[in-house]
Amino acid sequence: MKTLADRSIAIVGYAETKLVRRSGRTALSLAGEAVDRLLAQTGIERSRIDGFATTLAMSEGGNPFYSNLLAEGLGLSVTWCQATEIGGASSGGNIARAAAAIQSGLCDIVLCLASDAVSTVDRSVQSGHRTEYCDPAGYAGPLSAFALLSNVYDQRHGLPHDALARLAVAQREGALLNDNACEVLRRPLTEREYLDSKIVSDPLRLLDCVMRCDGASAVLVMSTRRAREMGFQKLVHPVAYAERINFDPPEACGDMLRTGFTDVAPRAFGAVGWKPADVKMLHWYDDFLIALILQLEQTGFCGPGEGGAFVMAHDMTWHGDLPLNTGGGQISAGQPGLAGGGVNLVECLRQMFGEAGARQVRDAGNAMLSGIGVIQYARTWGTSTVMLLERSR
Amino acid sequence: MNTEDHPLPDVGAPFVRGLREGRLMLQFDRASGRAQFYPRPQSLYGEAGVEWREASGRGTIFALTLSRVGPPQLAGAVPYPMALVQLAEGPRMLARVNAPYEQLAAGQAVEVDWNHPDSRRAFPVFRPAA
Repeated sequence: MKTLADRSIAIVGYAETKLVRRSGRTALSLAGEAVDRLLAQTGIERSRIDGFATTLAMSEGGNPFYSNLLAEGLGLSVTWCQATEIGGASSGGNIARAAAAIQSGLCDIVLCLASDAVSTVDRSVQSGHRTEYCDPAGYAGPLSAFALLSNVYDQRHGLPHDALARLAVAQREGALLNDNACEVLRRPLTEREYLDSKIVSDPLRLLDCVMRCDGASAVLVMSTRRAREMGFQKLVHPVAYAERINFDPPEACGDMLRTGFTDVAPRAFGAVGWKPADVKMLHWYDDFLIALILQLEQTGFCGPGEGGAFVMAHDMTWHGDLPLNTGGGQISAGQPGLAGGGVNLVECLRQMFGEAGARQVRDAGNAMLSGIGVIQYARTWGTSTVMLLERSR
Repeated sequence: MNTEDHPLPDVGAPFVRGLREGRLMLQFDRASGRAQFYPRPQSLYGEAGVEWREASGRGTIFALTLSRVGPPQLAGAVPYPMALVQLAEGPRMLARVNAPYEQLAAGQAVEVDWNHPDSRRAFPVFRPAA
């Protein structure tokens, strides 16, 4: 996006519910709780919100009127409304879409929502290649794709088991300090426990994978000018954003380890003249731990096959030199279905607002957020996104 | 999923009909001859369109896993080896391989096992090449 680098867009507040396994609630109920908290935190009146972007919810299945009905359920009357369905990348994607809508005059103050009760009920149906060619072949969901991807990595570079264990433990350390993480995940983890965890699909371990849960997050976006007028003191600016859907489509027989991140990272960094070494902390989409290794290698932090060595050479805990997913990430806090990207986004904002309490990163002046969405046929993920954010000076 | 219980897919109907006859049907670009899978309404490689032709049914294992979990219709079959098979014609296909996992490896030659009931009924199951 061309129009973010001038810091003309501001995030003024965020909120989330606790992540809960099988809450028995609905996406609307969880959304209402998150929005109530956001309104209380920002002091903004609900009637001032005139833009609304939401992720979809697996718990709401194929409701063709989802965003519209959610707006109605939340008592919002808006001039711009949309549901974004680029999978786990939708939460970050909605910030960029809100920015575009504000800058084009469609609306003034946007609520970006993510809510899903997928562990209570999953009504999602994926038509297309998933049902026609994957399920009959024995596909067991995203973990099958990530198991095969891990096998390709293992063939080429050797899987960095020690680094994966290090990441699992580092993120768990954050979850222990995160009251909103799933309670079942809030117990200490050792590298040995990670390494000994059950294999679900070779070489993928149970603790390589996210656990589904229910939860919601909400973020308020407006122009920096409006934010100043309204007296907001703490602002976070999204300064760069790049998105790639269906990277390199003819390469169904190409390099599986090369994903859309090789495209979006240079575009995002180039928009603001940053390089990886300028980034203070990482809030990266983590549905599987191997995805973090691949992101390190594909966004310029290290070269192909060097992700494991990079992890071992850095302290990526909340108090380390390159903090990563400081609230536990989705791996150790839980993945609330299609609202999962909100877990990374809200922790990113909480750190940048300086409100992360016992796990506050010392220098949280900027951050890199990433998103991953959708599984391609016999490849990797369909959507790769990078957002760079900076605290207002 | 049992294709006998479901209507033929639209774009992929020749593929599913081929399975019932023990033939692996793929789409090929009309100009370059490059093959693609899964079936799509257009060629990934240009605007000349696609034509359906029978493929060899042979390939090599590109990626391999032993799946300890499976979709509902295969719940009783776990654990089973599953692979990305690099077909001789080019594209990759996600499929089970009917052999002990310990006897399989990346790069190994495989072929469709048309004697496996699922190959004709649901989706090709591969076996080590003879």
